[in-house]
Amino acid sequence: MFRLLNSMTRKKEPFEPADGRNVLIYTCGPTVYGPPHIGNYRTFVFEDVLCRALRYKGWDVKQVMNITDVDDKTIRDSVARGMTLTDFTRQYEQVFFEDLQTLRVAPAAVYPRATEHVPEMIEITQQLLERGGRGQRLLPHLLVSGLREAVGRPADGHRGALAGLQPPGVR
Amino acid sequence: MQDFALWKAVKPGEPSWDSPWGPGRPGWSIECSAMAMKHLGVTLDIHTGGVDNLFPHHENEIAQSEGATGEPFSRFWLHAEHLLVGGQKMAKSAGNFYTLRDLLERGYEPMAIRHQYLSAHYRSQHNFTLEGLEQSAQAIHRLWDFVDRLADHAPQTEAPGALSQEVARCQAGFDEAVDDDLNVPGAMGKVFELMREANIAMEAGTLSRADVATAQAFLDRADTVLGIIAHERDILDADVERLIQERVDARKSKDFARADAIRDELAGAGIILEDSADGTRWRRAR
Repeated sequence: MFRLLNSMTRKKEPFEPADGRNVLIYTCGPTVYGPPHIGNYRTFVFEDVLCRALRYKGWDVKQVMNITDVDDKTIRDSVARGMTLTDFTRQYEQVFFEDLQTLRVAPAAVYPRATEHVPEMIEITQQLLERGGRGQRLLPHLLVSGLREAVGRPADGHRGALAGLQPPGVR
Repeated sequence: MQDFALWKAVKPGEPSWDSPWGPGRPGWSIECSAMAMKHLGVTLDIHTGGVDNLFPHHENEIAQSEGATGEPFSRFWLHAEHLLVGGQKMAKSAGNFYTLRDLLERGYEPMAIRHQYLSAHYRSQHNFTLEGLEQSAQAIHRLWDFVDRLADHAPQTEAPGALSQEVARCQAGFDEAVDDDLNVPGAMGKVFELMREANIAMEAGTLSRADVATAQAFLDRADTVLGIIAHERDILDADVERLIQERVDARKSKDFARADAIRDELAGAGIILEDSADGTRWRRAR
């Protein structure tokens, strides 16, 4: 039986995909403001081996890895270089994809760029405000508070279980 | 849980998008919630990242996603531990900061680097050193030499011998390790264990044709998980072109496993593929 240590419960749990066939997996991708360091690639190679192992177990795998091409660092460094955000980030995106191939990392199904999903992010933010997350117009930014209550059942050991915990114990 | 920004107002000279809250840009964590749900739906099977993303980034993602949908965001969360370099956290000021390119320019092999990563469990901190990397390079070359000698070996007998039992034992150990929270160092250990046993049998001349085939089948299977065993000996341009064509055909007929295997094989021989709308171009690494 294939088991994984779930950070949420900090227990090894039997894993199989919810629909019994297709594993839907989201892996946090790079912030493209420079060539990634070898610590970043430890995580990406781990995720590669995880997806390979899931296929080895006979499941189909749909892996999505985001490209963070807008944040404080990408903006700061593109401005410093006098480049547009797109020109600046695309060169490191290219480095990242070449490095993945060099390390024999099998490609994800989709590599969505943050800059191409801003409408979806606005939509979620609106949903949060409608569903009871108390949006705070703390100018100049829109912050959010009360989300823990909006998510509900904060004491059930699942919701919010990642917060403030030490990383799961090392075997 | 602390409050965090969902939307950041524009500052002069910065790129921005229009929104109901004025021009600005999204906060970091909302990005992952939006892209995960758009491409995978409201509930994921697995969400992974580095352990430094656990808090606050992943915590915020859960709050946002579950707050917006009312559904659980991910069934499983997995986090990879830190890589230390020379026993310390990597920092430019400490002189232990390496990009992948830095190591390749120093002549280290990509597969030695991959072997280093695979030699520690993902939930253990791993201390990366250049000495360790050299040992990984030696291990990889011993493995590749073995794979070549196994391919060239001319057995004297047909029927399965003692080695076939060793293969079955290593295969069972490999599967058990993979099943146990992705114990990759343990799984990889079984490949090297088989290599030692098979080398002894080859020396002794006790390896049969069936033994060779069984061992090769195990190595191929193991490599679909590990991705370090396949390699080519001094691959010729014509062979590269032929394999690229074969990969194109495999993709057309939706045989993605074969297409991936070819890509891995070429990568192992130091061939970099560049897919574009005009087809696939290739070049040799270094």
